[in-house]
Amino acid sequence: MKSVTLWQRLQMPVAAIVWLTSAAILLWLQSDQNSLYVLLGFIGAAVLFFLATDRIAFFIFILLTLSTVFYFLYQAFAVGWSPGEQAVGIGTHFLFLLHLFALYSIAKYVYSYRLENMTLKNRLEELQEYISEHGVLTKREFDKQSSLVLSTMARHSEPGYFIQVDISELRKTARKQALITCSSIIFGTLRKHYDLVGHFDDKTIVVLLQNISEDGFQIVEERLKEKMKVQIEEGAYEQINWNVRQIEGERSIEELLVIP
Amino acid sequence: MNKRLVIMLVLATVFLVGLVLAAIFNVKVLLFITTALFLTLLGYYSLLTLAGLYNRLKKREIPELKFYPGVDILIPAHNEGVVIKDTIEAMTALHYPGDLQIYVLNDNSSDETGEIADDFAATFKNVHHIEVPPGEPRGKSRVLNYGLSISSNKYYCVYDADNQPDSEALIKLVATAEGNKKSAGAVGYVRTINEQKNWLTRMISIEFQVFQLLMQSGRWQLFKTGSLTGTNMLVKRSVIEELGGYDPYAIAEDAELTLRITKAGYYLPIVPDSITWEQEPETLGVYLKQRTRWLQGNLYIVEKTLTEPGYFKGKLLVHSIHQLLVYVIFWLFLIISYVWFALGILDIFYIEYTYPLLFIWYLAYIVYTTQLFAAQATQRTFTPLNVFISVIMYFTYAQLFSYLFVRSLILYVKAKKNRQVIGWDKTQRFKSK
Repeated sequence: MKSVTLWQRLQMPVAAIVWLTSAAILLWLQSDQNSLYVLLGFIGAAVLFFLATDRIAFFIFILLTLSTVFYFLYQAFAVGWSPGEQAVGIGTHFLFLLHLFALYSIAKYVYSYRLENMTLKNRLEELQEYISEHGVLTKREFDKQSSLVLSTMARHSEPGYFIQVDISELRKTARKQALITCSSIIFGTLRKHYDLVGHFDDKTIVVLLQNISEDGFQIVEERLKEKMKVQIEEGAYEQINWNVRQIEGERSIEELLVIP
Repeated sequence: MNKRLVIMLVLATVFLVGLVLAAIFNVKVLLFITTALFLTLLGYYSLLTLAGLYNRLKKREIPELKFYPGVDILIPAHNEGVVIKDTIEAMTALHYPGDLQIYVLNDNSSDETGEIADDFAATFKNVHHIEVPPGEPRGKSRVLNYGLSISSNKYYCVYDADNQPDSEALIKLVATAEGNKKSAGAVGYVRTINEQKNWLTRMISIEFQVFQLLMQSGRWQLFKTGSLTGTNMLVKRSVIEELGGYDPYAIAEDAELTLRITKAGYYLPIVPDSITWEQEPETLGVYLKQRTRWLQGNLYIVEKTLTEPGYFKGKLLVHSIHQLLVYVIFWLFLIISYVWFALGILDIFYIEYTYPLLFIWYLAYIVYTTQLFAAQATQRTFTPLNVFISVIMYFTYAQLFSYLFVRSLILYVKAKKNRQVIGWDKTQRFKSK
């Protein structure tokens, strides 16, 4: 696991303190008439920054920085600021920039946490869908387990079958769900402790049936197809390609994938 | 002497005399002129920052071509033994579906550059070690002209001998160049491979990022014009042939060729996603030497802009005005402000003024620092240390420009006076760890 540096732990609280302190000082510097508008401005900016992505938030930060500095310059010309007033203007603007930068930093951190959270959630869902609920293996896991099974089968000269179910012809929009459904059906039909079901990619399901004769396979195949037809539309079912290969001593999936 | 040069010199003298007279008789006029020009310059740079950011935020798809035309990669190399192995390795790792020929143009190296290039040429079918015959004037332009004479593909792409492009860098340049009939090629981005070495390399890296955001992405967004960067740049052979090859006397050959390409009416699209990694000077001495050469190259271009016809027309106007703004007007302002500041400190010269000059100075600082921040955000190099360096760069790194400019100007004028050809000065490389 990646270790978190002290700065990484502190950056969010530091940004929050700078953000709030600068806002408080800027509000305190305003006259009573202005403070409500300034407060509303701060709230508006915060909402804007938090709604946007981190890149858009940065664009807004730069836009606000440049537009306000030019506005201050306009004020300096229009009012005819003395050197002392210019120094105050510079201080105020710099404080405002600190406020904006702190706000941008918080928005960026929040955005990155949101993104990370979403990615992790999706990953978790994926794992739950494929492994916990349906018992279907990922490609890596299938490769690992099948090489063990195939070696044992080769050693004992056991008969078996390798099936590839290709759903690439199905409509793209429904393909992801069809993959989950078909995998679930296949896994539910087979022997849980002997046979392996996995995802080769997002369009192919792979199945390894061990210690099964030709007659036994015919029965399983019929049962499988029947169950599939229950859930899958006839037209769509026709578009699914089945590629069946008898295992004859092959020891890895790569060998089975070679067209004889 | 050239008639245009005489006119330009007379105008410049009139302008300077006008400034001196204004300073003596009416300070307010002088102040008004300088303030207006300075604010225009700052406004223009702010606009470029926003345009550059907007351009970088836009999502762009690199089209997939049915046919990828042949490309020759030209790598000028003079005593590059320290870096050339990594460079050729990166070139052979480029993913390009079309014909790709890699030419290491060995310009009389006395170190192991030749042996390394030979080893690769003996192993890879498309790597060629070419020994460039000795000749004058020395430099990259002459070597590239030779490289063009011995290669033949539709495009050529230049990489400096210390470059390591991403494997997809070239394919993106070609796909973009092929997308527009009027494009002379395409230009990618340059990133610093040794950025984290020290504060100097960090500052150089940030400066590069700013250049690419403003002068490349920003100007492309606003004016549809870009600049060649000397490396990671693809050019159509037909275009360079039409323009008569590289100017062998140009030290900043990339900037010089940019002007001629733009003058001929071609586009130079910018491809920010095509990235090459380059080594930058790690010591101040090497940096000063390199930048003096670059500035002399730019002075040569300023001279060309002022003396040759056709540099103030169409899109070329953007480049020419920028060249004059930076290397004439901005520098003049700098000198005036330094003299003013020194005279004021010594209590010799005092002007009573009504302009908020203190705030204008602050505005300049903010515009400059904003550019640095923006550039880093687009390249995702925004770290606490880089933020700190950006804050101090105005007071440190940026101030070197005045010294470098004066040094380059003196050397340039001296060489012109003595009718000498300004020689090519190779940048010293460092072994990467």
